[in-house]
This record gives sequence, C-alpha cells and structure tokens, in this order.
Amino acid sequence: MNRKILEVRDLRKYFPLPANPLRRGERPVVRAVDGVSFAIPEGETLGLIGESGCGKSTTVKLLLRLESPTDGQILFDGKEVQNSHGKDLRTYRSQVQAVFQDPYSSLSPKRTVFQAIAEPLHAAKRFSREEIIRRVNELLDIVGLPSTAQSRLPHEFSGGQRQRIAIARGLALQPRLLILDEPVSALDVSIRAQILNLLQDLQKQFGLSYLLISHDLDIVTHMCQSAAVMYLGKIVEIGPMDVIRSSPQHPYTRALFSSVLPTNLEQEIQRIRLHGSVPSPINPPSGCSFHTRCPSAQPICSQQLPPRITTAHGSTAVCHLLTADERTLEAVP
Amino acid sequence: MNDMSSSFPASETSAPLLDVDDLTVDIAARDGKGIVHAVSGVSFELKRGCTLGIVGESGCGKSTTAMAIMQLLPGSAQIKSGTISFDGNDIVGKSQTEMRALRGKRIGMIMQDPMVALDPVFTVGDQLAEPLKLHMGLKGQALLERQVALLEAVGIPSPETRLKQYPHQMSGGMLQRIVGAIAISCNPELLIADEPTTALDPTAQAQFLDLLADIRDTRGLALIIVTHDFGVTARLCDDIMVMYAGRIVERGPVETIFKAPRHPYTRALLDAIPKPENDRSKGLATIEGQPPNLAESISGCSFAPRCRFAMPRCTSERPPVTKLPGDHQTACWLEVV
Repeated sequence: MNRKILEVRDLRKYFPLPANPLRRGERPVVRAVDGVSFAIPEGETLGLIGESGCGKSTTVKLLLRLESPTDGQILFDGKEVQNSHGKDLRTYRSQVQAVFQDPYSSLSPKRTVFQAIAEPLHAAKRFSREEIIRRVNELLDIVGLPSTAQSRLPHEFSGGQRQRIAIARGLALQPRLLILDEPVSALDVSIRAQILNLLQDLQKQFGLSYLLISHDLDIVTHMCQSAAVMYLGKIVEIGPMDVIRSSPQHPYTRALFSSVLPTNLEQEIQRIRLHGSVPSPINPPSGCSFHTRCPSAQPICSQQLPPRITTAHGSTAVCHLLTADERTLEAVP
Repeated sequence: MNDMSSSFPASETSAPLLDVDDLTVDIAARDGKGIVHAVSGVSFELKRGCTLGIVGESGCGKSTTAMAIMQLLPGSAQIKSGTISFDGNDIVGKSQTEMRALRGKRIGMIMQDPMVALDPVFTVGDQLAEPLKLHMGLKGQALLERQVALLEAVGIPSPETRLKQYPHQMSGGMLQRIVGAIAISCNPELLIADEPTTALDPTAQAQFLDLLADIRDTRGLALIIVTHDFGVTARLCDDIMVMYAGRIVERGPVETIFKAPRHPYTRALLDAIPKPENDRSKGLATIEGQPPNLAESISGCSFAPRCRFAMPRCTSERPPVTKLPGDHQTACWLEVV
C-alpha cells in the first residue's frame, strides 16, 4: 500500500442541542460523527457511502476544517491538522480541495469563469498577476474547456461544463487530495460518464487522491479502490472495494448493496429489505446502532457495543454476528 | 386493503387506457422571442396493468409529455397538435373544470421531490383528506378510516399518529410514500410518476419501487414512470420509450431495449452507466457533445451531431420510424438501409 495521504483517527463531532429548560443536567447532543477512522493511500480513491444523515457531510466539513472536531485526529501526510491554524491551516487547505454536488450553486452567478478559478490563487497570496493568468489558461485546458470560456459567466454553461469549471477551481492550487461530494449526481447520464472519466484521467496525470461521496453505489464501485460504509455516524464496514461490493460482511453493507438497481436484466439481486428509517442520532439505539433495522439481530446486539473484526475476506466490520471463529455471516444461523 | 383494490380488471386485451397520438408541444422561450419544440410527434399507448418507462436526459421532453397528459403544462406551453385519449376521450383542450374531475381521481401523479410536493404548513392528514373530500365526498369516521387504510397500504407504521404530523417530521422516503398515498387515494386508473425516486436514498428508493409495483399489481392500474435511470425501468417496466430532443428515438419491450437496443443513442446511454462487471481501468463510454438547442430547427436526426455512426443523410433528412419484430421500433437511418 502506498503512503497514506490522509488518515483519520477516531474522529468525533457532537453538536449540542438547546438545553431543555424542564430538565436539569445533560444537554442533548447530536452525534453526527462518532468515532470514525479511515485512511486514504496516496493516488487512490476511497468511497464513503451511507444513507442521508449518516454523517458523510459532517465528515467532509471536518476534513475541510469548516467545522472543528470534538475529538480525534486528522493526519495529512503524517502531520496532525485538526487544530492547526494560521499559516499551517492555509497550507493544509491549499492541499485539500473540494468539488461539490451542484455546480449551479457552487459557482457564483456574478463572477466570470476566470474570477471563479483565480479566486483560490488570489487567496493563496503567492502568485503574481501573470502567473494567475497563465495558470487559469492551463487549468481550463486540463479540464477540457476552451480558453475563451474565461470571460463568460456560469449561466452560459451546461451542468457538465460547470462541473468542469468547479474541478478547475479545485485543482488551481495543485492540491493532493480532492474531496468529491456527489460530484455527478446533478448531471445527466451521458455527461456523468464524461466527468467521471475526466476525474480518473486527472488522478492518473497528477497522482491525486480522492475521497468520493456518492449515493450511486455503481459509481463508487467504478471509481474507488476502497470503501467505507457509514451508519449513524460510525463506520460499520471498511475495506477493499471488491470485497465490499462482492462479499460484504456487515448486514447493513449487504442491505445497501442489495438495493442497487440492476444495470442489466439478468442481474437477480436477492433483496434484503430494511424496515423503518435511520434512527435519530440524538438518542442512537443501545449496543449496535443498526440493531433496530438489522434482519439478523440477536439479543446481544441491543446490549453490547459490537466488536471490530477483520473478516476472512479482508474487510473490517463492526458486528456481533461476525465472531473471530466464524468470520463470515453465512455461518450465522 | 381489499376494499380499496379497484374494480378495474387488468385485462391485457382491452383497448388501451391511454392513447397518445402525434403529440407536439411548443413552449415560448423566456425571452419571448424563440419557440422551444419541447415535444415533437410523440405517439404511444398504454394498457391497464401495464407500465411504461419514459427514459431520457434533461430537456428531452419526458416531463413535458407527462405534464401534457395531466394537462398541467405551464402557460407558456401549447399543445400544437395531436390527441391524448384517456379511456376513449380526447383530453386535449378539455376545460380546467373537466380536468379537475379527472386529476387526482382517475389520473394520479407522483412528483420528484416530496418536500416540494407537500405543503409544509398543513398536516399530512389534511393533505391526504383533500382528494378524498373533493372526489369521494368522504367525511368523519369514513374519511379517517380511509386515510388510515391508505397509509397502511403504503407501509407507514402507526398511521393515526402520522396523520397528525407535518411533513418536516418525516424522512424523505416516508414523505414519498405519503405522496404515493395521496396519488392513489381515489383509486386512479392511471398513475404517472415523474422521477419518483431521484430524491431518495438507495434503500428508500428500492422500497418505493417495490411499493409502486405492488400498487400496480393489486389495483391493476396503468403506470407511467418518467426517469433518467435505466435501473428504475429494469425493475418495473413492461415497455420503455427512449426520448431525445423531444422525439421518441426507440420504443420496445424492456427485454429488447436492454438486450438488443438498436438506436445509437439508446446503446450509448446504456454503455455510459458504470457497471460492476466493467473493467475499471478503462474509462466509461461517453457521448461527446451536448444535446441540441430545441429552439433551433433541426434538420435530420437530432442525435446526428453526437452519433458515432452518422452518415451524410442523417443531418439532412429526419429518419422515419422503422418497425422491427416484437413490437419494437426505432427512428434511425441505420435501420432503413
């Protein structure tokens, strides 16, 4: 495995809620991210998957240092950055950039393409006017837009072209890690493929590392070397993409992948139906937080926190049903 | 649920419930100058108990077609020609009063985003009661019983409590079920679902598609699914209609469209979807370029500028519809030669 560009250790973010005036004592908290650990090897893509409200976006905000973690560490290139500020923070932010879901709202409608792409270069305060002009031209070329595009406004572009502009802006400071938060879900199928191919080409060309967040599990499978599955602020399973896709071990991962829509008619998917919806992260269920919806839950699941187990297939899952002796779920009655 | 299953038998031999013939819709461009040819010459029919998937990318006219059937087109749009025959009656040009008697009663609709479809200041119960009061004249205990039965039919636990709640108190998947309950509340014969699962998580999406299939099968209603996602159609539809730039480029049974698509656009669209069995070191097949501007008149095939197989003829003459064996048809010059 390559050197880790990013490592997250036991990251937590609790949002306090307004205190209930009728109840003394503890203020309720939302455990948005509750002890998350993962690593991204340099030049690879990690997929972060899970349903809405599982803590994916909060994790992104923590990584971008838009929120400060309650606890835990973020190591970028081996250096702790969760509390850095001033010049260190500026350096970190130039190396970690993001591309967001909706290129209609991530680009200011009043700023030209040149201004949008040049903004991070200005903010870095280390480039001359000439350098900025040269770099913007270079970036437009990299993402496949004509240099005439720079004097135009975002509304003159289609969704796919806008996403290219957003990617160019993300690449402006030559970051080493790009956080892709649903980068293609607002785009049409044919345009989606163009952007995904562009992202893969850029990764090869510049040795970039990606953290990809997507609802579309086929896109995650296509793009990622490894994947982490989140549920209620915790990672329930993490491992190589092929393992997560073809032999998922945690019951939630299995349910998630069994809900993927077929891409051809032969695909007979044994659907695992989950009942109900994700419980509230304010009062998460006791024991394993998935036990309320788990089709194979046992009494122990509601009583004790599940252990972290390395499965026979090479993924790591947090589940009572996967014991050290019987490492696959098939073995559980 | 028995008392609610409709009295319409799903006989496949009967006359089509919906027969759209040569539908053409023009929309005045916002600047007031141009005219966008949103839908051009669309024809299809749909029988009771059957499901049609309308697939295409943004701006291909799929939603405009759905809205034309509901007669809910914006004021700037105009049905230039064609007929939409619902159960033997042409509904083009019907008055809003006549349409109001159909909409919500015999034709139900599910929109993409349940957060937008439901009114945040009314309880779910109020919104579910509206069509029941209006179309069925229910009130009091009978209304409540029907509301509870509907929420149970769409799989919402503790319906009595949920009826008193507001939309913001529920998850997206649950709200879409409520929208579904409203759409089927008066036993419609036709249900139109426009991107019904785009706003949902994968697990909620799978659940909702199961629910739609279940509703269709128990009630024998005709279902139209408008979607950009072939996966949705694979799970639910009998027939698929692929649209591009306002026209039908290919239509046929779901098996045929998936296994033996003929139109280059359909093939390219299917190839552009990432599949788990793909070689990941290779890129995805793409369709280069952008869809055409529908305010400009297009001579020839509208897909020709992006088509790998385009011939000189493709840019000058519009391709005719070629009928292929097995109720399959496509509009492409490659089939004519």
